[in-house]
Amino acid sequence: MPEISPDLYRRWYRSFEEDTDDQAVYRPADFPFPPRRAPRPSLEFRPGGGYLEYAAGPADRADASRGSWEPGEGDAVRVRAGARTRVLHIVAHDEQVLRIRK
Amino acid sequence: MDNADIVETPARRRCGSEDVHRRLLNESLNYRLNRAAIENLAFAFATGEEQPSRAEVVTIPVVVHVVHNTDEQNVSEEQIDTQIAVLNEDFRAVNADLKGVPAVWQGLVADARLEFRRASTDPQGNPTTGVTRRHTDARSFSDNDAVKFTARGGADAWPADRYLNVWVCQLGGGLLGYAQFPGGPPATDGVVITHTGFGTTGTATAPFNLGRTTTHEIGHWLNLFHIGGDDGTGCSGTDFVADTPNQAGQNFGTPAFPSITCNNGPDGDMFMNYMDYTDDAAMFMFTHGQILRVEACLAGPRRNLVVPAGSEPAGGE
Repeated sequence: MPEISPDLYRRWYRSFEEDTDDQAVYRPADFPFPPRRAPRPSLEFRPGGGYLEYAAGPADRADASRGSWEPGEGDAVRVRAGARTRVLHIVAHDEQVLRIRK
Repeated sequence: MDNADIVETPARRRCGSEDVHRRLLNESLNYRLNRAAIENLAFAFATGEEQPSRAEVVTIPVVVHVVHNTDEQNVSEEQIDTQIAVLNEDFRAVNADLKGVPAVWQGLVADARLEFRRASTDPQGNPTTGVTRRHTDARSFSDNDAVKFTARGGADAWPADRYLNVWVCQLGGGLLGYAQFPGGPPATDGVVITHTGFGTTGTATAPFNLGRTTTHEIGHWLNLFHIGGDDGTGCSGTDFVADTPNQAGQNFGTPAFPSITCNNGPDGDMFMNYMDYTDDAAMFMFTHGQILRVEACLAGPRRNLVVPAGSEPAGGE
């Protein structure tokens, strides 16, 4: 069974406004985001290796692509959503924020 | 028409997850078939093969499910009524800001001849205010439809063939609202609006405090698509409406006219359309082509829902 920090087991919403040049910032659902008509892109790690990526759908809810995650070297997590696989470099995280290298 | 039976019954071993799988497969198949029929009818209206036949304005009975974790989220009846008043302006094209439609598109402005009223009879036939309220332990809801089920901290839908279900709650992730197109499962049919984007008073907060989030979501519920065509910022997507200009992505904020994309000059994007993503103060029209799709929806999947204006709204009779 792969393991990552339990802090990560939730759905994280992109907080564009907080992005830096080299980091994409994500926040949990309850973060006081400025409201928006389009759903924010989000991603979700689940215990046991499940992974989802959500993108804007046609009725203003997000459409999910399902896949899996597995730990890589160092700060790397290899994720697959649908037919797309990529490696996320998690620079920092706790219960309130997730920072991924751009 | 129901082709759910084309899913083969498992011949031998069975387990619970097979039942779940089979249910989802059936729902998915039904949904695809429903959507095909709905779009075929919309196409027939768009081409003139079918004509809108109703002469009168019709009313849609509404039930508002207020699902609140804090007192603030427990929105007042006044806030609910300001929202319904906005719908009754926007879907009758009597909103004051219509004068902001550029002259070139004034002739496209359409009256949907639809009105909304809080239901006066509940599903059991008892008098109702058309509002249900429940306290929830959930600090916010996502777009996963939990708010639509009592067992998941929300409130169960009233029968979707007799009521427009509107859930008002705290949505997470900064989302203002979301909808379900016609043809989907009745238990989740309706629109969900975050309380700060609902109505024009109380907790409604600028720039989404003019009730247009609900107008937009009910547009989806009546089978309208985003005018940007739902292909990201591409120029090949479509809203299946002939009189809305082809435009790239959705617009945000309060754009200035004209805003040109996809070689759609000189007039550019119709960013003041309710099915764009602009601020409440910047969206104020439906077009005739859009309302033809609404007519097809009211003649098809939502035909049981409408009652002649002036008569007692349905529900329970």
